Amino acid sequence: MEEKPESQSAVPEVPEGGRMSRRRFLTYAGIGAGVAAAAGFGGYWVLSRPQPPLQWWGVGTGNPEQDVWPGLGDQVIFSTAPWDPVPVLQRMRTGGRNEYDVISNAGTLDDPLAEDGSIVAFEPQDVLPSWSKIYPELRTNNPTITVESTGEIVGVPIVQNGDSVAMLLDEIWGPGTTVPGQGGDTYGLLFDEQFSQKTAMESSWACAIYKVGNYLAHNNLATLSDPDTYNTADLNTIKNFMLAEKAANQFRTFWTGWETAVGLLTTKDVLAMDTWEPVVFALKAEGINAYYMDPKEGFYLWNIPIYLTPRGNTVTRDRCLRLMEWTLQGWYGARITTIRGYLTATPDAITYAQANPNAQGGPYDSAFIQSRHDKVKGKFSDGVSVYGNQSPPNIQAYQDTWTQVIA
Amino acid sequence: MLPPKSSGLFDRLAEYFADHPRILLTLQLAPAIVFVAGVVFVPLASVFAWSFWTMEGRRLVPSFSTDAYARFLGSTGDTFRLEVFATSLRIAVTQTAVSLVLGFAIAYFVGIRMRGSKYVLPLLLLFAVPFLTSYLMRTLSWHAVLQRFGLINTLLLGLGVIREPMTWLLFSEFAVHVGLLSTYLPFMIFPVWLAMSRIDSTVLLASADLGGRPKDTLFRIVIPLTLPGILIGCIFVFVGVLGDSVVPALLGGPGGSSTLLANLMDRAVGGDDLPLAGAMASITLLMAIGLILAWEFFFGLKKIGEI
Repeated sequence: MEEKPESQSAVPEVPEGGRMSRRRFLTYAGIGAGVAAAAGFGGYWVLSRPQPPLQWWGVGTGNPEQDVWPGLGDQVIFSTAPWDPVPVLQRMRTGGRNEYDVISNAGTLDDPLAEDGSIVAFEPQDVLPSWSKIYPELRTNNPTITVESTGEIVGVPIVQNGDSVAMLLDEIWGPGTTVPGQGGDTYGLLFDEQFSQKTAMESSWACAIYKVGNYLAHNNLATLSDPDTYNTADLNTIKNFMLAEKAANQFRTFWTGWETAVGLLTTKDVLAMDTWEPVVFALKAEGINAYYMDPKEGFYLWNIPIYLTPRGNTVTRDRCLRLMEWTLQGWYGARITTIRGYLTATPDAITYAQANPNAQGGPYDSAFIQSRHDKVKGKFSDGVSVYGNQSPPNIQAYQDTWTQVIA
Repeated sequence: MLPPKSSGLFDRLAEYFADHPRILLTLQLAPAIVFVAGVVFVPLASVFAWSFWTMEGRRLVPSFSTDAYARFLGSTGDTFRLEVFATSLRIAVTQTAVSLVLGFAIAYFVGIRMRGSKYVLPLLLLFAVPFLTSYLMRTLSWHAVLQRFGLINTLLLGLGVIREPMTWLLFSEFAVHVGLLSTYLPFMIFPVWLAMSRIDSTVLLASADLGGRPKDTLFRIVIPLTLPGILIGCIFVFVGVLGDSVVPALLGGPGGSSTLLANLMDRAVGGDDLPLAGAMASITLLMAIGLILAWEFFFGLKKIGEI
């Protein structure tokens, strides 16, 4: 008997000439079809699976407070961040940069956040169609959206205002007063002994310290350096002034929290206090003749940009950019200005309100939005108002100064 | 008859642990000790370590520096932290004393005078009800009572008792005491009541049968037997008040009552000054340990276990 060659016995199903047997062909074809089907279904499942919502960690001021955000077409979970630089920096260092897609906080936090690698630079002018619509007063705000050391843009401005003093016109200048009388255009009202025990200041240094500094510097009561970088001597000057005022029983209290701020003025416990502008809106809504000061010393300017985290720049970049673009558009702007009176970044808010007065979360009054935009833009271009720095390099000295003042 | 020979691993282990009960006890306690060490002692040790570290820019750097303690003690000439510390201690001691007087009276009424009544539990629960609401809101609610035209001033003005609203009711040390008392009184009532409820009724009856006046029964029987509860209540209130930053911030005034020790710590953390915050926390902790050691020296800690 003739022996078969070894090669033939090793692959018996493959006939001569390399042709596959029908059985083997069908087997391979079946396996191939199975794998292809599995891959197809798997791919379909992956692609059709709902994406997890974007994670936005920001101060509550930027939250539109509606379940559905019209025009966005994506799901976002907004979680509230503190208006306090150190916890924000620490949270971002300890994992926040990999948990949140975007964050929004005080604009002057951008430098330390960028130095930590918690936010990243990008080219908004290339990737955000509405970038060019941003009011020039805001787009050129170097302290808040641009890293000082590199000049790179890291944020998109979304909410801004200038803070001063809320006051009760009827109680200070007489019933029916519609505009403040003498002394109603200066932070000196807070230190006027005529209103001893009838004024209050905020317990946090972040806003109050700059208002006092502006008052002292503008009225030549002291020589201070740039508010961004108060040195120890500047801070001591502010501290000594405040301690003297406190010793003279000038202040009713150092307030903390929205409810206390509104309550102090509603009950007329105080007649003037440094606080946020929405407090005045809340008082007016209750029929109280309240007014927000236009101080000759200038407003304390602040803004809140939205930033891209390392996670947002890689894993969810396209969605994050869509969200950023959306914050520059009509509904978001109209909503934020309507509920808080703050300035949003583009005039789209006004045109949107004109065209959609009854859109979700409305009604939207385009005249009111226009007036608020004009008013706040004016604060940013008056040449007197200054940005406070939420995160000065010598933050311990700032904190110590104000702690001694209120202790 | 000889006992059956032990066989198998479990039998041998059982035999071993029967002969070495201390090892068995150690093994039984080990998970709890590891857990407590992990969640309590490690964080406390970290805080203590931070107090000797230094800040370089915004970074906490391991080193050994007593600068934070020196600053707390006023080495730079600013003694305001020591003053705040002294104020905090004074307020904490006052609160503990007031809570003890009121809490003991309430616990005595509920635990001794109302003994056996079906109203004991509902009455005690009344003191727990406020804890079902937010601490912030509970504290803020005092504004409605104490403010210039709040409940008290309106009532007194209406009755003609006062001509002008009393502004010292709110944003003052008085307001801080009121807020703290409403918060921490239950922490005194419950342990004292618990200790009193364990006093055997026959002991109280025996005291009366032997001619003891109510005052004698109170001072010679009830108070000594309630001491463990009193101690626990005092520790709860004292430590709680020292660690409270909400009430001073919302009800305190510019005269020094709006900033207590816990507020100083909050502000140190907010100012990126973890060594200083760590130093203040460590000093508070050492003080608490000192109090416990003092109790052990004078009365013995065993008494606490008797509750």
